[in-house]
Amino acid sequence: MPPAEFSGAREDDDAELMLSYARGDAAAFETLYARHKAGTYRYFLRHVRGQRPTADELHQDLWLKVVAARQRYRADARFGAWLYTLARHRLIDHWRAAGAAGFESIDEEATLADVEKRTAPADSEAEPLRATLNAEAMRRLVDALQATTANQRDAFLLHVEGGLSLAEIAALAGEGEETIKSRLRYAYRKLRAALEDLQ
Amino acid sequence: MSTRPPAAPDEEGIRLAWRDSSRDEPAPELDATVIAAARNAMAEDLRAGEARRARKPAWNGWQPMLAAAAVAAIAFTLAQTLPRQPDAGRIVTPQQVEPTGPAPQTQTQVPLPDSARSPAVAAIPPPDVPAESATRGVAASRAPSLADTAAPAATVPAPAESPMPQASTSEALAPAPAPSFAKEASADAAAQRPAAPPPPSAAAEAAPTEVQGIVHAYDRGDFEAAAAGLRQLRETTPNADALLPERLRAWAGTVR
Repeated sequence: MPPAEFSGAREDDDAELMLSYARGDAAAFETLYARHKAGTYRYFLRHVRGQRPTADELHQDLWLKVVAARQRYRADARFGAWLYTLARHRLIDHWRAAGAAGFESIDEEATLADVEKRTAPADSEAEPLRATLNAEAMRRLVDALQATTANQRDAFLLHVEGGLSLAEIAALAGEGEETIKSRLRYAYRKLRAALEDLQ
Repeated sequence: MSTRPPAAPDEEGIRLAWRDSSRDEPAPELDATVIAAARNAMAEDLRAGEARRARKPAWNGWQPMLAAAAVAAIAFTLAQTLPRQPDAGRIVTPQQVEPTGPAPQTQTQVPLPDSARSPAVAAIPPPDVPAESATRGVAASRAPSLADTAAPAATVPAPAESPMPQASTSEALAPAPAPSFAKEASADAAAQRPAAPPPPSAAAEAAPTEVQGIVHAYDRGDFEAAAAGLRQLRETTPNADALLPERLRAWAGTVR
């Protein structure tokens, strides 16, 4: 199911759902999870180069943190920005546990490949090709995304999968908006190049 | 609210292509794990809330009543310990009653006989009675209202102005018209009413003299004599106190 379009009304509703969950409405959480589970899962999956077990673990840890933080949640920021802040922190913790310093040290592709080799379970399986018309395009996009730096990839995934704005990405990453814009521009350039011969 | 930058057509196409192609989602088992964790957290919250309510002491429900009882006790204690008004419940004797009209310049209180004194009155020191030679002066200096309101018989003229002979002090104190008028009245009454009842007429004739004696004794400070005269007058004359000048009536009320 393709990710739904983000709208201001739904973003306000996300905060209300989280607050309702904090007040004891379990159904509100289920609605919230259904809306955002795909985006957060793909965010992790793309960062860990398609390693599903690792992505499963990171995804589960993220949403258990959301459950644990239900009473502390304040609608000071948009729910999506808050959610992907937790996701990014979980990802950094994963890399640090694997010996990497963070996004900066992951920028080098060789380092990232080494990290994922160390952290991937022994019985990890590669992402299977989908027998659809979009399979080749998706594979190329994913490969192209993997060819970007970790910061460029992160900016792209937060923008496309998480629906965050430039300002929100900049605040989350601790960078200026121009830096984020530049990273996005490079990521799109690489993805565009991957699709050129398919068009 | 998400604010996307104005994307070039190619960037929008890439976004759409990515979304169209991206089908990866967590496995149903993973979804079930997350949902179960969320529901368990809700159950924990409910149990924690019930435990907090159960830990409340049983006497919490009695707090309003205890507070009301404490307030009532404090109010009662304050009411009991607050000082009472002075003179509350004290019996006001006629001796302490001030005459109506402007306040006199000098306040005089007649000492009652011991038998007639009340404890409150007994605390009042006897007045400082002036000497006989100054009596008239004192009397003349008394408030005009007393002199004005008093019967003419009570007026005490100055020695130089007194038309009365000095031989009889009682007569000197009495104004000229009053005794003669009284005597004339008694004579006329005796002449015109041969069948008049003796006690009233006799009492009426004696009243002015008795009254004069009482007033004279009072003015010179011989309150015992004045009181004795008043008692004697009362025995013979009904409403004897009314015959006294108004300035003596308060004192007369204290004479028993």
